[in-house]
Amino acid sequence: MPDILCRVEKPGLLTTIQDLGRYGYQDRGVAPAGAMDVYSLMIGNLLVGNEEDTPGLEITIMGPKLVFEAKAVIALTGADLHAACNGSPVPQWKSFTVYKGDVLSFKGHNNGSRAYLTVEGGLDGERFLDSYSTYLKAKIGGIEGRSLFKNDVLYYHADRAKGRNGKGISRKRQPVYLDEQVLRVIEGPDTSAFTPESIELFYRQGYTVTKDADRMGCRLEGEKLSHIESADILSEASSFGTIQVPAGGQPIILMADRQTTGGYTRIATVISADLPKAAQLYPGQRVRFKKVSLENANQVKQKKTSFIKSIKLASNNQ
Amino acid sequence: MTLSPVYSPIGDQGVRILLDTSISEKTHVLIQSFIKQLKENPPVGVIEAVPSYGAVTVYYDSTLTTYDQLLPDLDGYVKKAETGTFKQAHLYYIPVCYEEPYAPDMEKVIQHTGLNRKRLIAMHTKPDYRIFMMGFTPGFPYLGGMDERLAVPRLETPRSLVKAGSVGIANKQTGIYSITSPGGWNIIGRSPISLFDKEADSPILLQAGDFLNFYEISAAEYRTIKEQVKQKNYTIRVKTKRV
Repeated sequence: MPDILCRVEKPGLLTTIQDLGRYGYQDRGVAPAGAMDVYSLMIGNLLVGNEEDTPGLEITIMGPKLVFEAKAVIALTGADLHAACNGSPVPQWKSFTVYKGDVLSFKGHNNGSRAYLTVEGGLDGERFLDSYSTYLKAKIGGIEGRSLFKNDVLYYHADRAKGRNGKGISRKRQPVYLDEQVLRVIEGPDTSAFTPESIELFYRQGYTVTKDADRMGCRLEGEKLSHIESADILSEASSFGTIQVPAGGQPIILMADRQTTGGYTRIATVISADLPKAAQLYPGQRVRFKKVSLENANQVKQKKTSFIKSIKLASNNQ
Repeated sequence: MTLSPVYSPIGDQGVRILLDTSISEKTHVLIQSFIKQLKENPPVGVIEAVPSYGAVTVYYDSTLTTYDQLLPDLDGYVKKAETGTFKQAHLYYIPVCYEEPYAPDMEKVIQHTGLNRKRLIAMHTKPDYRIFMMGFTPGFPYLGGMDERLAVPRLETPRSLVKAGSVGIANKQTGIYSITSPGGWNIIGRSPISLFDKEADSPILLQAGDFLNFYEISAAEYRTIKEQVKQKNYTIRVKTKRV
């Protein structure tokens, strides 16, 4: 039986339970959902001694106010949302202990837009089709498939806790979410649907993140791209990180809660190693796209994977 | 097989295989055959595959495999895909009430098509619709085979909420909303059954390759079936169809 971890005094803007996503059902129309920034959730889990795919809280821009009912080791990763425990700042990217009665609150944001709270043993929630991830549109996973409400109670698996505490990663390993972010992409598959000038413009210009940036997609604004004939394709699978360009000529980066299929031309897809950076974009920020080869993407991925493995190893050897 | 598949990377976690740029039953059956082989014998690192009208996207774990490593296996399955390997499918009978208040756009569709109500319903309930693909929302089928005389353009302004079970027409397509969501299709009826029920043992009723047939029910029958669905004692009629 899971134990009570905390009570929700204020829910925050959009706080949801997420793991690494619900895979295997996209052919039936079920979006994977899952953490937008999987890297931060994975590291957060490892810092508290969990497997990296354990469910945690995804906290968006304005964080919740949580009152703890148990002593537990937690970690905060991802965006810096000015977390404080009983009013005093707490570390980021490093696990620490909270005690019964402690109040965790968030005071704003200055770096990134999504933070992850992980707890030793892992959060509990509704498991549906092999995942705890909250998928808002279909009201599944997490807590009744929705974001946190005031007075919700969060549960965790105290019995699975491994007693890791004070584990952190060095500052130089912590991601920095710059105001002008460069996202590396693999081009295509609908490159030929655009004028050559538009393809060139896509890589040359900087884009502004609009207010329409949520778990489904991140709409960007820049100089309009032009299609040669049509902006529509016969509906096909749409992927995390794929950049669609509808007839209006403004790109949309598809994110965790995207529809599983879509009918707009795709100019490129963000490489998996850069998706966490895309997940941390917030309205008003600038983005540029840089074309890379698959080989290059694979190298970057390998580096990231071996770093995660090294933290896991260090954590297991503690 | 005389297809010339085109392979493209989707980022560093997907392989998209394009077989056709138009909707055809032959391509659909080939894609089903490809998926069947992939499921029976998945190459290392493959997570899942999403079929659509003329393409398949295969998602993989890029910590376990790469695009280049996967291509020979995938190409092997494409080359072995056959039109004849997919001989049986499920045919689901879906009850639909075409009466008010479940058919807010019926009048508009009658006017646009020039058909009378009875004829329109007869034409809509006649075909066994093929499910070419699933997408949009959990459990939503993209159907083929609607009589083109029923075609009506989408609503100019989509509704912000269309009830689950609503049956609609958009251009040459007909479909059924699997969950309550925004939508721009012309709604001509509603089914009391659930295409997506998170409490059910198999939460999603349909899958690509299946068929469905609509049949007309009265508003009273709608309410009866709706109640049975709620009580979990409604069994949908299914037949095995040879294709």
